[in-house]
This record gives sequence, C-alpha cells and structure tokens, in this order.
Amino acid sequence: MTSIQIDGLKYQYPTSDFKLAIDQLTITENLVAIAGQNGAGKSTLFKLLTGLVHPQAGEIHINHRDLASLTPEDRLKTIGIVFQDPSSQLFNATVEKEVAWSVLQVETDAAVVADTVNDALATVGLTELKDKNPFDLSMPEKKLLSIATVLAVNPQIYLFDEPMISLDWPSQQLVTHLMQHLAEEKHQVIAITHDMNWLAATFAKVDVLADGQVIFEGKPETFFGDSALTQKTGLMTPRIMQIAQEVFDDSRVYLTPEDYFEKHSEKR
Amino acid sequence: MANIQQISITHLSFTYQHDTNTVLHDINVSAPLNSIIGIIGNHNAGKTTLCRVLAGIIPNMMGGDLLGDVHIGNLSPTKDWSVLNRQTDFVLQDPNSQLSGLADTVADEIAFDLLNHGVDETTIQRRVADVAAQMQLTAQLQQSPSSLSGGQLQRLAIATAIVTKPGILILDDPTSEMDPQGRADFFNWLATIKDTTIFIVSNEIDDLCEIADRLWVLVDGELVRKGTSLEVINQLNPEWQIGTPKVYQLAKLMYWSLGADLFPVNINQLRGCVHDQHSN
Amino acid sequence: MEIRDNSLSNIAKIRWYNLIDPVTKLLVALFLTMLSFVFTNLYFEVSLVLISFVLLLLSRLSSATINAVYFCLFLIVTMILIQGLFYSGNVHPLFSIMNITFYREGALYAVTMSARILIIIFAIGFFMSTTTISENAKYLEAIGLPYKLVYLLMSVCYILPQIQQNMKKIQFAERARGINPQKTVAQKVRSILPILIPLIIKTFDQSINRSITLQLRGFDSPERTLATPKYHYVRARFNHYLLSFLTIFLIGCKLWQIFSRFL
Repeated sequence: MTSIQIDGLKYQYPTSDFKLAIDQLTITENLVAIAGQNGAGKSTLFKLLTGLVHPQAGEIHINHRDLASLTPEDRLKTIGIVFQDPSSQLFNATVEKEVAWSVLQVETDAAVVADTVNDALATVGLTELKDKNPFDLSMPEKKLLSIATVLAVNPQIYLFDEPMISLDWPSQQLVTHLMQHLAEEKHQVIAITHDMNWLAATFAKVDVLADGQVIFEGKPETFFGDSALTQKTGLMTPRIMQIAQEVFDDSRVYLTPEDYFEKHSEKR
Repeated sequence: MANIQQISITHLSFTYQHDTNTVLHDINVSAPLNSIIGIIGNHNAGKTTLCRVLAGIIPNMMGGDLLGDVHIGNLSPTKDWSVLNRQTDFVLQDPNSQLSGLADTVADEIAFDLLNHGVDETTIQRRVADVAAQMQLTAQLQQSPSSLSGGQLQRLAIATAIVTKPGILILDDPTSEMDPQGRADFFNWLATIKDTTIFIVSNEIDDLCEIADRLWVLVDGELVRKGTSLEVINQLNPEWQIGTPKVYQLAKLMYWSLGADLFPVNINQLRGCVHDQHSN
Repeated sequence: MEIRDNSLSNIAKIRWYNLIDPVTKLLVALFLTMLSFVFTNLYFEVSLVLISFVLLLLSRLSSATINAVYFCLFLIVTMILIQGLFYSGNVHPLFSIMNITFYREGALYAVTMSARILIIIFAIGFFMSTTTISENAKYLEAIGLPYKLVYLLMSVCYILPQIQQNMKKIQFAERARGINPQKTVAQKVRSILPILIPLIIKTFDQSINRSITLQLRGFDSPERTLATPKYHYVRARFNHYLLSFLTIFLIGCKLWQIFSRFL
C-alpha cells in the first residue's frame, strides 16, 4: 500500500505571483483524480511530487520516506510521470529506443531491457511501430508511447497529467483500462483531469485545487452534489447532470448515463 | 458542372509522396454551402489529410497522388487555389505552427492576415479588438504570443483565422487543449456564425452533435457514413470504435426513442422526444 | 486606445539604441570586427574590446548573451593555455611551473585571437539584445526588401531560438525520465549528443509547418500593406553609406596586407 503525505508545502514560482500552499494532504487510495481550473496548481503539485522542482517549505513523504532524500534511481522507481504534451516527453530516434532509454536508467542487463521494452510496447499496442520515428506518430500514438516509457520503468506511483487529452475513443478506453489495472495491481495512480465525464465515471476519490490550495477531498458524488463548491472552483458538472438539469430540471447528482438509468429504474 | 451552392467531393483518393498507403479512398460526398460539417474518426483515419485537401495544402504545398475532384461552391482547391485561399482560413492541429513568429504581441499576430490582405489601419484596429473580445484574449493583446498557455494559444490560432471573416473555415481539432468552460464557450460561439462553411475535426462528439449540420465519419481513409448527426450516430458500426454522445447513451438506456429505433443525439431532440412520450 | 503600438507615444520608454536602425547596428558589428583584423596592435585590440563591451553594457543584457560570453571565456582560457604551451612560434619563456614552460609568443597570439572573438561576440550580442526579430523584419520590409526575402532571412534567425527552445524541452524531459544529474559540462554534452538528430528533425518539421501556415495566411499576397518601422531612426541612410564605405575600405586594407606578403 502506497501513501503520499504532504505537510506544510509551499511553493512559489520565481517569475509569477502564483503560490501553491498545501497544509496537509494524504493520498492513500489507489486511483485518485486531481481537478481544478487552469492555474489552480495541479501541474505544479505534480512537478513537486516528481522532484522536478523543490518546495520552498514543507515536506513530501512517500511511504514514510522523505522525497528529497531519495536517490535519483529510487525516485524513478518510486514515481513516474506522463506529461500532458507527449512531444515534450519524447526525444529519441525510434519508438523502441525511446522506451529503451527509460529502462536503461534503472537496468543494465541487455536481455532484460529488450524484454521490458517489448512488454511495454505490447501493452499500449505499439509493437508494430517500434522502428518508426516518434515524431511521425499521430498524437494518440505519441501519448501511448510516452505512457509506455513510464510503464517500462514500472514505478510504484504513476502520475498522469491530462491523460485523456489528444486521445481518440479507442485509446481513451485503452488508457482507462490500463490505469484501472495498475491500481488493482497495488500501484498508486493519480491523474490530473479536466474531463468531468471521465472523472465521474472512473474515479472514487477526487482532490480539488483552487488558487493553489486543496479545497475538497472526497467522492466525486459529494463534490458534484455541492453546487456552490463546483461553482467556486470554476469546474463544470458531468454532461449527464447538465442534460438532467436542462431537459428535466432535475439537479440531483448523476455520474454517468448508467448511473441515471440505475437511479431511475429502482423507482419504477 | 459544379453546383455553386454545394460542397462536392467526387472520387477523391490520395496517397502521400514517398508513401504506399492510400490515406483517402474514393470519397464521394456533398453538402450545402454555409453549413457546419463535423468530421469524426479515430487517428490515422485521414481527417487531417481531408482538411489539407479542402484547404488546398494538398496538392499546392504537399505532394502526392491526388485523384478525383473537390468543389467548394464554384471553386476548386486544386485549380483555383489562390482565389480560394483568400476566402479560406485553416486552424491547424498544433497552434504553435499557426503563428507567424514575426509578431511581438498577440495584437500584431492577429493583425498579420489583415496586413497581408491590405486592410487599412482603422479597420485593423477594430477587427483585432472585436476578435480578441470574442476569443477572450483582450487582456493578453499586449503580451508576447510565447507567454500564452496551451488553451490561450488555441484561441489565438482561431482568432488569427476568423479575423479576416473567411467564407470557409477549416478547424482541425481546435479545442484539444482548452478547458471545459473554454470549449463550451467556443462551441456556443461556433453555432452563432452565419454565412460560413465550417469544417471541424473534433473528438468532442457531444458538442458536435449539438451544433453540426452534418457529420462525416472516416474509418481508415474511407467515408463510411455521412448525414445528419441523428442519422450518423444511430447507424454507427461498433467495429469503428467511435464514441457516442451522452444524450444518445442515456436515451438508449432509458429507451426514449424518436420512433423506428432512432434515438436522440442532442438536447433539443431529447427534449422533443421526452415531451412526446409524456403527452402520449 | 491603440491596440497595436505603431505610434511612438505608446512605447513606454525609448532607449538610445532604439534610435539606431538594425542595419546600422549590424554594420557597426562588421566594422568593429574588421578593425580588429586589420590592426594587430594589442593595445588597440584591447581598447576595441572595451568599446564593444561598453556598447553591450549600455544595452539590455539578455541571459542568452551572458551565456554566450561565459562559453567564450571558457574557450579563451583553454586557447591561451594550449597556445602558451604548444604554439609553433614559441621562443621566449614567460614563466615555468614544475618544468612546464609557458611561452610569450603563444600567449600573445592567443590573446589577440581572444580579443577578436570577444569583439565579435560583444558586437553581435549588442545587435541581438537591442533588436527583436519583428523590428528587423519591419525595417527590412520598409527599406524595400520583398517580404518573401525578409521572411527567408528571418526564418534563418528564427531557427536558433527554436532549437534552443526544443533543447530546453528535451533536457527537461531527460531530467524527468532519467537519473543523469547533468551538473558538469561533460554530463551535459553527453546528454545532448544522442538527441541531436531528433532535435534537428523536430525543428525542421516546425519550419515546414510554419511556411505552410504563412502561405495559407497570405503573406506573399500582392496587396500586403508595407510595415512601418517601429521607431524613427536617426540618419539611417547616412550611417549605412559611411559604415559600408569604412568596412569596405578595411576589407581592402586586409586583402592588401595578405597579398603584399606574397609580393
């Protein structure tokens, strides 16, 4: 069981007024969404969690170990990140080399490296494209490749920054199943997302940020049920709630069309 | 003979230079001018290539083996490109590529096309102000384009395209980096545009069904369905793996049909359908 | 309110270097460079270094210039060391430490070369940090260059910052995905080498996309309104003639110096 414990965290960019301040945040669930408007501090939180930037104050503990004390290799094995823009994660000449580059950071045995690369590419369905240049891939393929580079290292904790963006429908299904599978295998999977439909359908726990602070922790149902809170955070409700509101003037919480169906078939 | 009130594509096939895969296979379709046409399909289905043909990038700037005929009104992107290009604007998938790179400010970037068209300075000032307000970029007008976020950059790319009031607007996945509010605002605005033929590629099937007059579905370079969103969504083949709008999913579960196994795909249709059911 | 700041009143603060047009600045850089090549007197070289350094200090220093200067200083130190020890004309020892002798001729030769490098870097740095790409483009178009040519020139200028930007992205990705701390120069170089080709492909791809967009946006349309330069430049034409004449004269001198050796 993985746990992330954040205490008294403060971070401010040198060039802007934006401030991230998290007094206390504990993440123990295996599948967690982080939501919030642009500029709420979601990506900054991810950068702090990966150690790409260092907090001015406060501590981050992962499994009771201080993040700052991890060696670079331990850090890679503990926490991996998939960026929103896959182009900024890819820089090798072929798809295969791209994944191998990641594995070589933590593994030296050539046979193990080759196996790991093949497995990772097979998982995201890119085996046939392994000799292609990553820049020639379509956007969804690039995104899947950037996910494969993290899968190959297989860290305990996976961070996904807007994983649904620039994916088409089948690859959205693939990535969602992959994330659920990782969570079942005792990995911790944390995703930043704007997509409230996906959030409502996929996650049982959501942390909501606004202006650099955590203002909600809990179930999506509770969050979407509090219309004052959703408005304050500038987030929208899932499409199904908008439909219920507009067509039936019904402002109850529904997460998915299936959820609506179940809630209404009980009454029949 | 080209019909001047129609967009018509006949037997269009295309293969890129130095490539053996045919990207578009024998596409035949027509639609009235000044309508909104949503182009859907998964990656590598040929959506971007079709946009390039419509904008005349193919064959004027990118080479390959192009067969068939395309007409937008009485113009053809293959034959009358320079005339067509004056009336057409294209928003590329990657907003970074859309920028001229020669402008210090967002305002100058938006003005670029107008300068190229020889528009006078007073008109430029007015148009830039209008479009910036429309795309919510007024506060950013004096900033450098490189300081914008992904969503703002996409709105700037759209602003540079619409500032010339084109008769034909081609949008290749213009909202991919916008937040939900920005995306909703964009689609609401798109629905209000008049006298413009709009081709829009998007994965936002819910929004497309609300605003598009027609949907074209591409699968592996073939146009497998064309028609109103109601017809197209109700006739999707599960093998194509195309997402459906939430309204349709809900209506199917609840069995709110419009008759003849036809389920609503947007809020208006759903409203009508539920209303009918209640009155029966 | 004017949205596009074409009128001077909207520019917050006009610095002295805004009064000099981009072409004059470039010619100044060329002129100083030629001067340093024609006259080899060390004191003269040093005063040229000082002049160009003062020019740079008076302009808005950018971090890119400072980085370039640091990199050159590193080169210069190695050059002085190597030439001082191994220059073929070394005769007079300057000093020796533990049997290693450092010679005067080599050191002098290296110092002269360094002075020239510094002059070029400072003068170009002055040009780069005081003119933006768009100011250049506007000026060149205003003095009558066809826009297509202007764009071609500017896209060449654009490639370096573009590569730099792509490089930054990649290095960030390497940091996120890897264990290489990239602290020493050697580590940095080693992390750059394997990514050079993808970097060039990516930048090339962006340039192609940009040129397609520009055609779509009608940049070569015959009705294009000529850009008006951003600032009012002082005596631009006179400066061009004077500096061109002086530079050509210096080039002549240098050629004469070279040929006279064979006569």
